[in-house]
Amino acid sequence: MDVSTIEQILIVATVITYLVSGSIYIWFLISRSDKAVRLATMLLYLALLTHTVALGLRWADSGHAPMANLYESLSLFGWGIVFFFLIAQRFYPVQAAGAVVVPTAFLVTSVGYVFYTGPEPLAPALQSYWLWVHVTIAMLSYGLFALSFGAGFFYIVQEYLLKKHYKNVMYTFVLLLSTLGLVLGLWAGSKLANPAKVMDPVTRLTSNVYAASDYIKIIGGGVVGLLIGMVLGYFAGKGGSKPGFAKRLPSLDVLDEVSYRGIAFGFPLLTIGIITGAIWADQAWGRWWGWDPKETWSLITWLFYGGYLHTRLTMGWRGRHSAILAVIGLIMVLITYLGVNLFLSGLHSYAAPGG
Amino acid sequence: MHLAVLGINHKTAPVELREKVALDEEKCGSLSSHLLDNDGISEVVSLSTCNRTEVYVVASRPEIGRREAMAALAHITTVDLSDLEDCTYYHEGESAVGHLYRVAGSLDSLVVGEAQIMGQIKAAFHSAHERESTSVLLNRLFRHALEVGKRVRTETRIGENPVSVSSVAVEMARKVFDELEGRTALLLGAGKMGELTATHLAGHGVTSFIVINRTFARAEEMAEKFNGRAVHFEDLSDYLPMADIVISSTGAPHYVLRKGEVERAIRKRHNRPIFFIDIAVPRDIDPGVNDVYNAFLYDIDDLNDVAGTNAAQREKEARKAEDIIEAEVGNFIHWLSSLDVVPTITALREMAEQIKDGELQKAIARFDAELTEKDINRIEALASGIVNKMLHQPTIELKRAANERGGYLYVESMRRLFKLNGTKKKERLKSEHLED
Repeated sequence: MDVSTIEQILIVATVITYLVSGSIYIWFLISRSDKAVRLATMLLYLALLTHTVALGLRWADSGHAPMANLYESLSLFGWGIVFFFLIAQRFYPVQAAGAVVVPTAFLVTSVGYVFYTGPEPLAPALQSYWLWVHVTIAMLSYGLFALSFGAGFFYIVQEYLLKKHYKNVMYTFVLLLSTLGLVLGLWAGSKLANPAKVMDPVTRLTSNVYAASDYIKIIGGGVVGLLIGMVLGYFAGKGGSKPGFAKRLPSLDVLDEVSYRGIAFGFPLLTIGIITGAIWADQAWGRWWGWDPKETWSLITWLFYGGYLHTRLTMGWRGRHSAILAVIGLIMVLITYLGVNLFLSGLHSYAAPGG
Repeated sequence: MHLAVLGINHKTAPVELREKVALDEEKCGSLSSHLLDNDGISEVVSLSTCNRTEVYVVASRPEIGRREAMAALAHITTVDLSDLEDCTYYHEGESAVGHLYRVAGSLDSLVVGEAQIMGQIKAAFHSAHERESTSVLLNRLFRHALEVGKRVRTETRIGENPVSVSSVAVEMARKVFDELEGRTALLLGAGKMGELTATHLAGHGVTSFIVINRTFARAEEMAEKFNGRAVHFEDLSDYLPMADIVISSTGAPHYVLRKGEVERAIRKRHNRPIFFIDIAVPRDIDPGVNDVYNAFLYDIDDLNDVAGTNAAQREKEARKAEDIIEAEVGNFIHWLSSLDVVPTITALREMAEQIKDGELQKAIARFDAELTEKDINRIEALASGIVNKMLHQPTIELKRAANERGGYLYVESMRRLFKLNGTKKKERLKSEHLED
């Protein structure tokens, strides 16, 4: 068995353990069992260990830090999310956030594995110690933003429940989750029908690329997604109408604090990430800044989080408005990080699958 | 011996009678010495809380337990015997054990799932233990009851969600503020309910109180109780921004606090949230306040609804607790029945016979075929003779002890000395654990 086989086995084991641990975190929200959260945490530590070993093997095998292609950087990102979550959980009662954070880590890492490529030597442009500095710092900031997102998301849920006095919340939960389920189902269905032939959704809709059987798959996906969303929404609504359920969610005070801290630490890191990127760009390509899509989007993200801190520190924003910003912020991060690599071309597209 | 309990509680008697039957430490002592003067009673524990008075006794015959406990209680509390007879309940044996376990699991409490009862049982048992009115049976029963109560609390969520309005209010405030330590509470109106809620908040670490009332003197009075400061009603808008939690309970016929004022206050405190508890009827706070950013308003109905949901949850948990109790009663009864004399004697005899047979076989085998039939018979007769002579006196003593007070002490010692435990290993471990 060569190193990359062991690495793949470890990554698959990690992904499965994330999935199990994440499911237990979700179960914890419903069952409110302390045993569940202990088990989930233990599994998460275990998964972090196998993940660390896998990343270490990849590092040793390729001779460079595991951040040169999409698989490596996503894997590292997932690792960072879990790492920071476990630290946060040690100091704050944020166990409930695990129900979002751990499944996110699962998604990120497993999507990374989809783009798995064997270890390769670095492209000449990337051969610099700046790779290590730039990518690590950017990843750290993404991890913190993800944490901030999780806390912000639960702030919105908890605040909504408190305002509604835990009454008549079923409708909202069912509506939201079934809509989400419908959208995801349609997306998955269209993926099945037309696997990645046309990436751009606009082209896909306007030009008639689908056969009749494809529509069945798309609609079928939508229906399945809708049903799953409705069932989940029903249970979430049922839990949400029990004040005991929301007791397991951290208090607004803690959620607001965690969400803010995540950005307060993530923002300077992102700043340093952009600066080191510029220095590196100057060395590799002979210019500091070239309005490459990745550069542009990271600037937009930076401005956005800057706006968050500005509204918070000078205008006294806190609570729901800040939480909404933290949630939108992660969408920006995802566009910068994944969207640019996958859908837009530019100098950073070395990180695209197989690229 | 017969285990029994005579009791009176919130379900069987009105508070007027319960007050009279309530026993303080001293009365508990005289009750037990009074009861123990009777030869038919060997152990006594009395438990008295604001909702119940119960006397647990071990009597030589069932009818003695009931009669004596009733008479003693009437004697000590000077309540008419006929009044007591109408309002008391009486349980024996298995059902008495079940009753104590249900009390310990707080299933019999006025507020199901309340936590104080365990401490009260512990205290009652300790003082009974100290005045030496308990022995093997009640010692074991009460220790086991405390274990059962603990099991119920840890294995079910019976005590988890608050069911009284003021504790629900505190619980909700903690969902906003996490820890209440160092927070400021503003009391609007100096009513009784407001005071109760404020006491709860103080218990959770709120140290700073502002009291506002139309009658300033009343505000001052209340402020003194909570170490807070009294403020004139006109200054409400100056003090509102300082408050994290507002408890309103004025008798005003109209809204005292409106949306605009709250909006200004929250802006002044840089969007830090305020939690409003409106327990006044008619309401003091404009319901629109709940729509103000970072303001959370709960009125009496909202709190009652939450309390109701939580109470329903407790009912569900109570059913799980009943299962635990049923199993534990079974364990205790199993142990109790092992204290009967006849099975103990049988077990002792069986053990002796087994040893005798084993040793005989070994001895005879050692002689190979040297022994005649007659020799073997002689040896067997010798062995049986020793066993019977050895067991004769203990058997007589046990039978005699069975009819005496505290006779099960002999049975218990016998079972221990000869390891006559018919119980399963797991249970044995458990009961040994209970012993210390």
